[in-house]
Amino acid sequence: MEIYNSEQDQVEALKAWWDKHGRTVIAAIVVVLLSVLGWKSWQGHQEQRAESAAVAYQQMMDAIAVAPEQAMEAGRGIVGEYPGTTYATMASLTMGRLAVEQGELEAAAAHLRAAAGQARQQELKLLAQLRLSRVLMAQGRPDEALTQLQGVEAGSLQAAFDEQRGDILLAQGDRAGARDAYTNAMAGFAEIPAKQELVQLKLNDLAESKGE
Amino acid sequence: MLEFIRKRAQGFFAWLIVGGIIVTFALFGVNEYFSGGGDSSVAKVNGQGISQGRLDQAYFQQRQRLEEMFGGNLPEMFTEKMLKQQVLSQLIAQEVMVQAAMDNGIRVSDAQLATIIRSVEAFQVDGKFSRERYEQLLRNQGQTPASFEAMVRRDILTAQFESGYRDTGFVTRAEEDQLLRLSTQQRDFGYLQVALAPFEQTASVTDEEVEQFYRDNADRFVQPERVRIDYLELKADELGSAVEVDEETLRSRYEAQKINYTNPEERKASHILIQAAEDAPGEQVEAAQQKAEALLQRIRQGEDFATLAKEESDDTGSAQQGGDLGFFGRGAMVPEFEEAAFALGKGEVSELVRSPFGFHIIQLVDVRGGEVQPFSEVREDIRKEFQAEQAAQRFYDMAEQLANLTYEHPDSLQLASEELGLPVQTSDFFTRQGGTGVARDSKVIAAAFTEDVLSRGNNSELIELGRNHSLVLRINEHQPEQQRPLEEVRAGIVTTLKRNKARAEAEKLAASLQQKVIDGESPEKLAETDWVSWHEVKSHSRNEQEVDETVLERAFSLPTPTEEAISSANVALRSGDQAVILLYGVTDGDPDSASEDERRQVHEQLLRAESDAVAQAVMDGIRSRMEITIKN
Repeated sequence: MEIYNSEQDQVEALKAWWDKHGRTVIAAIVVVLLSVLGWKSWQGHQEQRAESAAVAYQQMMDAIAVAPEQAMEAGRGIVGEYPGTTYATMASLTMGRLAVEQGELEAAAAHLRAAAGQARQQELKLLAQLRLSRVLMAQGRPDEALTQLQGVEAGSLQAAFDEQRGDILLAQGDRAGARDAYTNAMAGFAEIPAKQELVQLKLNDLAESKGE
Repeated sequence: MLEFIRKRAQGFFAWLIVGGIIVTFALFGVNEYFSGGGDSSVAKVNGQGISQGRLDQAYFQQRQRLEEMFGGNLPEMFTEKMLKQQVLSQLIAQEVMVQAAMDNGIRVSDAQLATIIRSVEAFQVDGKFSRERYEQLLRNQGQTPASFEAMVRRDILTAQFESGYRDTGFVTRAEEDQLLRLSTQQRDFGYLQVALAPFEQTASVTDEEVEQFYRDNADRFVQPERVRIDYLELKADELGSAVEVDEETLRSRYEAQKINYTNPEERKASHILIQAAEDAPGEQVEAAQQKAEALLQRIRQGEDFATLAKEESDDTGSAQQGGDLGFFGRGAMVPEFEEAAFALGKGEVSELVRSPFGFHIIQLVDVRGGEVQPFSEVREDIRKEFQAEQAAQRFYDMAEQLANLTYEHPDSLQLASEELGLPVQTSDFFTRQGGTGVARDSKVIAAAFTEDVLSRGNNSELIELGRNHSLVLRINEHQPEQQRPLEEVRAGIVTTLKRNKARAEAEKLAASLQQKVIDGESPEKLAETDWVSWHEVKSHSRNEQEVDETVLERAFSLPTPTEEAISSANVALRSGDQAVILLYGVTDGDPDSASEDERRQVHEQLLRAESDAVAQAVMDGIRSRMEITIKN
């Protein structure tokens, strides 16, 4: 450690230091401030985008019941303008629903595929995959429907995936497989009475002959 | 450390440190350093606390809602602890969803928030949002606009996120068809019913079996601890009828409170006003007075009051009606006016009356009310009131005496009973769960089982069961938990054993019948005894009512019969009878022939189930990734 003899020395040393490094210090402060400001305004911009996406999303949801065509239009707008956001995922899911209601299964599959492809929220992604599989079933394509479910870690949607797998296996003629899948679904739906009732119905119909 | 910094506070390190400090302050703001303070949160979701205050407020609101639902009285099953737990888990669920929504970029703009708040009808006056009304309503609820807006924002946020998975569900036609095939499925089946009653009648039970059962099931024959109490009960209602009432007292009460039995008097008057404000200059007042006096003169000479009022009165409102002010009671007008109006006789016209408004000429048009209800009409009311008052007073005195006497002589109720003329009553036995009569009251139960009363045999304190209803009790008899003697429960055991034996017999018979049917015997033939009957059910759907519930449920969960194997089951019915069910055929419903209505029902059922399942799954998934701690 340097020892300064007096205050005077200390001030001198500081001055010398400042002469040498002053500019760099100022430049650094400016750079840091600029990047902070930049970051903040980027954040602000993102917030604003999210807020306007929220408005567009609300408009779409409000239109569903009264003007589905308009809702579709709004949905396409959201997907185009705010790609990669959760609003885009939710808009694709909505368009999937609307397309199914209009009987356009091919379009529905496309929307759900898009939702599954870009969703960042885990459950929404799983939901899109599950619904895509259901649309494929409705199109009479059980093999493709099953492919959608394979290798997916279904997490909290496991029971719903099990039920769907049961439906597919049954359509493929695998009654034993379907029964197992439904039995798993039944356990997973322990807290959803409405689902239990439906799956039990399917299970009962698959009861095994063992000559009680 | 400082030394180290000073040495290195040059060159690269200096920039790093300075930059770091600047970034920290710029990004996170200084406020976070001050807002920490004491931590009063009852639960935390990812470090975000739910404060005690918020829990209390939510609890209070929930309580109010429930109280309204149950007409003011919250049933005892809703304990504070339970309600708080329930409210807390709702708050946690809400916090989880809010955070999830925020994390996933869901936002609510100020404009959106404003639109929604403005559209709330309660905040509107004449169809338009009123800021005053808004703030006032919030104040009444103990909220500020800021806290309310934050709450609404959270609601919109979660509603938007939830709509992303709840309102985007669908049902495909294939799924409707699948459910229609099953729900409108029809089945042909029949069942042999084996009656239990004949087996019960023939079943015999030995003493050894009864004793064996009594020993094996000792815990079923335990008589829990119970007490019977003696008590003195004091009710103001009953004291009332004993109060002597003499006519003199009632009449003097009537006289004293006559004002209460008088209909308020109302008077109808017209007036003419000549304006002269109190602070008007002297000459103006004088002019007004002269004008008024002239008018009064004309009226006295017979001119029509109404016409003059119309022409001359400065009170434009009443002038149109010829000065008519309608009926008014005391307290409605300024004192000077009232005094004059209530002093006039019907039809009379007053002198000039000076009020802060100016000079009035008043004509009394009509008088109504002011009648006094005669004593005979209100005597009954006065008597009741008097008796209730006396009874309450007497109740108060007696309750004090009762408390004192039973406290000073804690080993008997006898003295207090004689002193106060209250009979000693005795209850039936009751347990800590309570019993009948006064033993239904939780305070009585609690008092009877306190140590002082139960073990030491003292009188209880004075127990207030309600307004003007009290009681003191002591134990008459205390029975600790004990095994009930065999003789007392023998009959019940015999019935149970007989029933069990009969069941086993019926089940055995049913099993052998089932085997016979499987081997090819005709069920009709097998039913040719008194205790077996055969029922055939053709083309039955799962919702029809005529068939026994258990049979129906089992018939619809039996496997479809094949050429080789008949499908059958042996089940116990609720009545205790046994049934052998034989399924002959299954016909799936035809979705194409389903009615609009049926299809719509199925559609809604599927949609609801999906929505329930998805909502739960999303919530579970999100929760599983968050750290939730609850302080107890």
